[in-house]
Amino acid sequence: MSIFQNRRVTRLCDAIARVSPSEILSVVKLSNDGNKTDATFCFTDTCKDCGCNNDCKCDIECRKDDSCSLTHICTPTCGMTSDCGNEGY
Amino acid sequence: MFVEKELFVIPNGNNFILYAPITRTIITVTGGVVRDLQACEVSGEYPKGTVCDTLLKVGILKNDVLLLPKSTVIQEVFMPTSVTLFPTSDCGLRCIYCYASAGVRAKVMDFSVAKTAINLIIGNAVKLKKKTVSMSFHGGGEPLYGSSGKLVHDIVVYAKKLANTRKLRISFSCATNGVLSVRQLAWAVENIDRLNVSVDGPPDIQDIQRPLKTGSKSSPFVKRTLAFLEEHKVNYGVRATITKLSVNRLTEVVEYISRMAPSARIHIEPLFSCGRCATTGAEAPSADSFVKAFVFAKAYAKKLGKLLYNSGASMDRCDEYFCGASRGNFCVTPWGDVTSCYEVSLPSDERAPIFFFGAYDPSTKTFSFNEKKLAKLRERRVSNILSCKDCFMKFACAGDCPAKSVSTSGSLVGGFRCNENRTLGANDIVERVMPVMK
Repeated sequence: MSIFQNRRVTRLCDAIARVSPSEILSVVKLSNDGNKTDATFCFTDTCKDCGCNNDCKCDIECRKDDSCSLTHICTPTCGMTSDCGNEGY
Repeated sequence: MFVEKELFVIPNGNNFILYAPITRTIITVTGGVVRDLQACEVSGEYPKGTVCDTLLKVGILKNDVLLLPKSTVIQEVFMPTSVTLFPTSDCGLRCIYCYASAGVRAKVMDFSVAKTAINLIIGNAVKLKKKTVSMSFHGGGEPLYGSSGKLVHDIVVYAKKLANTRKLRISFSCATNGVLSVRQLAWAVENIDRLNVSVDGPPDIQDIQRPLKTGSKSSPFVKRTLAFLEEHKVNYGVRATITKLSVNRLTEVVEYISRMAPSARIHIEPLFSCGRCATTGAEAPSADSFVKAFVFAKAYAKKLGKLLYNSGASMDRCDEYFCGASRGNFCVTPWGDVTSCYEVSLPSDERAPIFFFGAYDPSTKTFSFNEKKLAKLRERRVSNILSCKDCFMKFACAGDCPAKSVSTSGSLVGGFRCNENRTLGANDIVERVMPVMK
């Protein structure tokens, strides 16, 4: 098994790519529920704790954290502020 | 047309992997797509066609004006509806790396402190019209050890009763070293919604790293605990701390935990040298050795149908805060101090001036909070950390552990294992793409 040490990850503007045909070879959507095994976070479409509307249809994080207390925080991922009053980014 | 702002590129052979953490997308593309996107960043135009359609669909291209992340500080009045109590600094174990040197300065919380904290969160929940409140029990010491066990029982009874009176749902979680009597286990199964047990692996590792305070083995007790939790189908997780001693046996650690605790989530963290390490000589694994061991162990776990969690490199996270320490956790130490960090629980801790932001006043039986200190802690979000600005891991590690940052750099924003996180993160991204590419 290879370990990808020293692999250079850059911003788009710093990437160096040759001219070639444009093609998408694969698409992987990262799960927002931590594949059910990430013990720290789960994401839901609607906020179960405060019942706020998710007008922007982006993800809202419902914190179910064992290590950092069970604080509920809404974090819309699109930049909207959730209407339960908690600020997203 | 706009290109997603948080977009990172990883060369992969003749092609490229594009990683967009906020839109939760990893795509593999040819160089032509990279060049077209670069041109689009300047011109705002992307060649029409199926590639453009797909990029729009996955959110890498957008038709609307980008809404940039806000970086303002949350200024709301502190009204917690959850609390984490550190009921004692005493412990029946003498783990060689204990961050709190538990047992040296034994102090059990006064019930009046816990009661006031419960009254506060329940009162806040009523004012805020919340339906739920939650409580956790955690270290410095072992929450269920000695007289603290009785205290925790009394706290749960009181909190349940008060929550019930106010028609609130209440949940409990508890961290434990796993050295519990059958009676305590039976109580925990009945009363605690979620347990986290610290187990460092096979008996020889466990007994060296996590001995009883008498010096005897803790592994038989922990083994019994895991069997009990499995038998009673408890919702629980296992956390293993990896030292220089155990790092080359990480796969074996994962095998042992998976066998003894098949239903548990597995959380792996490398030791961060602090606390009792100074006197025991316990050493952290080297960055390289941990990364290699973790990658192999993760692949092994995958074969068993398990996933390993590591706090610095979980690509399933997308967050601006690493943890509640900078969000404003309401944690109460045995002395009645309010800290936001689970690791900073002792008044003598040199980081206490940063993470302690309140205290219990026995004369008024109330908690007071320093809102300015809390606001300062809440500023510690990844969008405010300059050194994280162009890092692809910024929303996965979110600047990493603030307490360890302070320990290593004296500042809340100093990275201390960036290379490890980046290597594990890049490895994870490539691994996710590879099965699709095949």
